[in-house]
Amino acid sequence: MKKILVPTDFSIGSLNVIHSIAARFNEPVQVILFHAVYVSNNISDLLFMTRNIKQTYITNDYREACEILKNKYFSRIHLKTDFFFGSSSMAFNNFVEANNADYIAINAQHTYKETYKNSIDAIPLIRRAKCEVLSLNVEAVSPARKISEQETLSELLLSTY
Amino acid sequence: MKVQTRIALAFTLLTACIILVLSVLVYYFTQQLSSRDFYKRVYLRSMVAAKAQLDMEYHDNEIYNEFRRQHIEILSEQKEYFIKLTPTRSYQPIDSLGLPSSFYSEILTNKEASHRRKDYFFYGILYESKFGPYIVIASARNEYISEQLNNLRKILISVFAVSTIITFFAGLVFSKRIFQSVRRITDKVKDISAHNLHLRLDTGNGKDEIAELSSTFNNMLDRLETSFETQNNFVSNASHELSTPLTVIIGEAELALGRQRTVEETQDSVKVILSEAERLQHIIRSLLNLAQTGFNGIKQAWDIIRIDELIWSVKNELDNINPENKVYIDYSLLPEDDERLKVKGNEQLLKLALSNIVLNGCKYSNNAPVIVGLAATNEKLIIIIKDSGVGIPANEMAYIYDPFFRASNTVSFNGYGIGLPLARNIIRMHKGDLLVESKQDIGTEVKISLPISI
Repeated sequence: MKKILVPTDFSIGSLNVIHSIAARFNEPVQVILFHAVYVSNNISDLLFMTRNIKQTYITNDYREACEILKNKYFSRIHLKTDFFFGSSSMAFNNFVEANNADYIAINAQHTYKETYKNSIDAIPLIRRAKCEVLSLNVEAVSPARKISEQETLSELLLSTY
Repeated sequence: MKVQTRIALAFTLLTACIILVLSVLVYYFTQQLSSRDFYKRVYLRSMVAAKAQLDMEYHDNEIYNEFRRQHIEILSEQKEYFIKLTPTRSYQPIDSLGLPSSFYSEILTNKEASHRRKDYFFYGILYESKFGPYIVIASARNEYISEQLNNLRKILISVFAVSTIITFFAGLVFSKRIFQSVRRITDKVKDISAHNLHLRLDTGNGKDEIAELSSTFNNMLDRLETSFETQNNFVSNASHELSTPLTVIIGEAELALGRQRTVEETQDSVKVILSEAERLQHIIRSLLNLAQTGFNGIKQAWDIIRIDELIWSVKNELDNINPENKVYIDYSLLPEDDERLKVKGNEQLLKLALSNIVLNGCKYSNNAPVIVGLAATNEKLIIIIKDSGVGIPANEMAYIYDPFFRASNTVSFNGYGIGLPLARNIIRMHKGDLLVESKQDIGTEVKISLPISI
């Protein structure tokens, strides 16, 4: 089973790439969604670092969207969300190696945001990583027709007008 | 009985119980202590008497008695008795004392024993003198202790009575103060009737139960006021909606009757009357639907429904009504496991709700594409209906669920404003949720979530 790392900023847009992964790979794959988080060197910051980072960072919409995708590609894609703690290339390479990843897939059309205070942009790290990077296009609903400022689950839909 | 008095009584009872227990304990322990103390004194007398009477030489005795008189207080009715034991350790009890035989036998076994008869205290010891073993018994009357205890009893009883009365009145005052705010709320709520529903209770700035009660009342009043207003609006809107087609019908009929007209003209009139009558029928039918969904869902039949099939049948129905529709069903998020597409509900009602929303999407976008997406999370089934129509102005979003409300930008479209409230009622009956997101001139997105029945 191939393992693919996918960066996420907990937006629905960053999840769209899973559709493209499903289209590209015919065999079952394991997708590890990861969010890069900066870890301070300061001991007191480390002390007060929130422990249940999953609960504080993962929004309801994101969880719902993940569940939808899991149900959609039930037999083909194994999905889980993880965090990468660190900011250096070396640490990221370790992370890739530890996860035994074959590819890193990014959504070519999505601009990844630094969602939280100590989020970091994973794209430069990915560019320098010693791993094959797949830059995938997603045929999604044209982004011009956004109804609300917030993202909605409908962005996962693949139909175009 | 008022709660206020009840609280005062309960308070009094509790305090009285505590004081009573305290008094009893104080009395009991005081009595214990003083009798133990007195026994010690009687014991001392018996020891001294035994030594003086049995072990002293005559001249020693004189001095000893002198010493005793001077330094050891004579207790009231203090008496000493000596019983000589025979070598077989049998004895002759003193009948005038009326002591039980257990007292004597205890002396023989334990070498000492105590006994008490009312205020009289007895203490007996076994004394081995030069002339053989003796039983020495000292007795005295405890005047002091009985007086002291009597006094204590009086104090305790009067304290109990006085404090109970004080507690009762204090409790009355306190509970009155506590219930003052409740009484205030009662008075204020009594003032509020259908004519002045805008009145609200003063919640103060406290966060206590009373403030909570007031704000609960206020919330209830808010809801009441809103539903009152909705009711009023509904009646006026409904009568307006119903009277418009009727006015047209009446006008056309009068016109047709008014003068001699050609067949075509009459036919035109009748056509207008027919179409208005149909409109009337439609309004009444949807009102009926709305009223029915307002009831509890017991009457309707509930089955397990596959939502994808339901969407297809909605789409088919729509093709019949409006062949130009561009409804696309998006299967890109359809779950693999079709068990996740099953929902428990009433098929007719759900179909009505869905077709209303999809039809709205087609209508308000002039048949632009409408996407119907279907997805499943672990607990919910989500239906997304997305159109690119006129949307809803942001400041009117709050009223979209009011019956007969129509957004300001929908004047050029036919409609009565019943579809969305009806759909929401139906979805709520199915324990689901209906969310509308919209932006004027860009489009509307309706997200319906229903619980999956697994």
